[in-house]
Amino acid sequence: MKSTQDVGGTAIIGFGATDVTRQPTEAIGQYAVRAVKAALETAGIDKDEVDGYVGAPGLASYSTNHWDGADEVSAEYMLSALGLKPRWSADTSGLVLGMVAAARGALLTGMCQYVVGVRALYYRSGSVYSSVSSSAIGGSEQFTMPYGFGPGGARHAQWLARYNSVNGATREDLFAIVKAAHTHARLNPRAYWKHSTLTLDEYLESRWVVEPLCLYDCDIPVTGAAAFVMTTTEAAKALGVPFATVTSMSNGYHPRGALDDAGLVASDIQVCQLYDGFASFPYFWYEALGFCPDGTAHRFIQDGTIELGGTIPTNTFGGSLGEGRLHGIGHLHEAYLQVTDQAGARQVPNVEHGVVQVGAPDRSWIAVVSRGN
Amino acid sequence: MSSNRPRPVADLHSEPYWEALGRKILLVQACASCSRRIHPSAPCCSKCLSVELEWVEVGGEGVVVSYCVVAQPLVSGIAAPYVVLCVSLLDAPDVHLIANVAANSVSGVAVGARVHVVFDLIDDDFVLANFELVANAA
Repeated sequence: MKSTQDVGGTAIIGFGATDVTRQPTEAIGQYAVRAVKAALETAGIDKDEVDGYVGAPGLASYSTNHWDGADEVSAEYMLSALGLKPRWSADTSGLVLGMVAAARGALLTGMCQYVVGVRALYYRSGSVYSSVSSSAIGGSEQFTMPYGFGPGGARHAQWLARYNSVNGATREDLFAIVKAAHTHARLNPRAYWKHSTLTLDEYLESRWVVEPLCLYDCDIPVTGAAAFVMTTTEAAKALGVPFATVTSMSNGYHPRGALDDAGLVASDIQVCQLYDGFASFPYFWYEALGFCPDGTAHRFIQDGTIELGGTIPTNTFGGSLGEGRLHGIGHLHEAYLQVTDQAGARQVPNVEHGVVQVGAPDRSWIAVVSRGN
Repeated sequence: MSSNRPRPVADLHSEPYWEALGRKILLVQACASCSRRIHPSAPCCSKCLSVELEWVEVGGEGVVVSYCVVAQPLVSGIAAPYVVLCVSLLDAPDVHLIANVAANSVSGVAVGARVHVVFDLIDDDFVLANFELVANAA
């Protein structure tokens, strides 16, 4: 047990999110700033009190230009935009839970008191989101890109093809994940697919991106941003705002590490936010986290098990498949909303602990997020 | 005729691999200490951390670990749809090669299918290691 009780805990005390769109009328920096202002407001924290900043600008897509302030925002850019000179700041890799892990370290070692974390994504309709036009490829991709292997989730398509073959799973099975995402998105006014009426037939007839992944198995690229405010559990209690405790975290190489450190097992979890950049990803986690035996996730998810009202409601905000591709900060946002009873029409009753997992199956972080008290 | 397909930029680790492939020879690294086969080229053996790695020729017989069909033209110079295999070599099962299927034939491609290497000349000295199905393999 190396859990938070030994060293004091950390908490998420505020969250802000912008609209998501495929026709942005503002630059990414404006989305990011709007998200931060909303997060500070819900936390009841003044800008001048912020003494920590964390971001994760990278990993947007193959066709991203990586232009700071145009299609991604670095810590430097955000600190300048917000007029902040924090005691601690960092850009991390590892998507949004890498940010949370770094923030925990900074807070628990006393480097700062209030950390703002920002994740912003940019997409404008009309551009091809995931494509490669380089004529020369070095580094690790020199062994894959000459074969056209990389964009469109090809690596994940191969993973799914093997899963399907070994376990006898079908596209009809996988639709349960997409269906849950679209069903939940209808309860999320921010979701891109909030008016979705997707049927199994439409799903089966949609075009392949990289077979066996079809259009609806891929998350939808959007522009949008979200931001959180974290502090120590002690400070959160003193503030008197609703807060979520970050109970435990582990790297995906140790799938049950976060549950073990919290002294929990799968059946102690009331709600899951599992990263769904591709619909196949959650298969891996239902098995690795212990919700079902290996090789059976495609059966476990059937019959509404993962929808609101089921045994383990998952991606209750629609996930990246339904809300839009915000690279996991939507998942963390929903975990915060669920354990603070702010999820509105999609609130799961009596949530004590939620699991958040962000990243592809082979490079992930997992957190247990709990009701603050 | 020159292809617009992305060309590998060899580095100090990978140069021997591409040089040999240009001569239609398939090399992987072998750990001098524990004899583990390694690909893609790496700075050390991830098992025993030995940095003494040698280049050894491997046979081109393999098994399809998995495959996918890229249906959209996502990579310049490569017409879609096309099959991409992940192949485990029979004499180096730890080695997984990403490759296309020879003649882009999807027929018979399946997880577990037996394949062997085909050296496809893309242009000049640019050779890729692709695989074709072994007919009537058990």
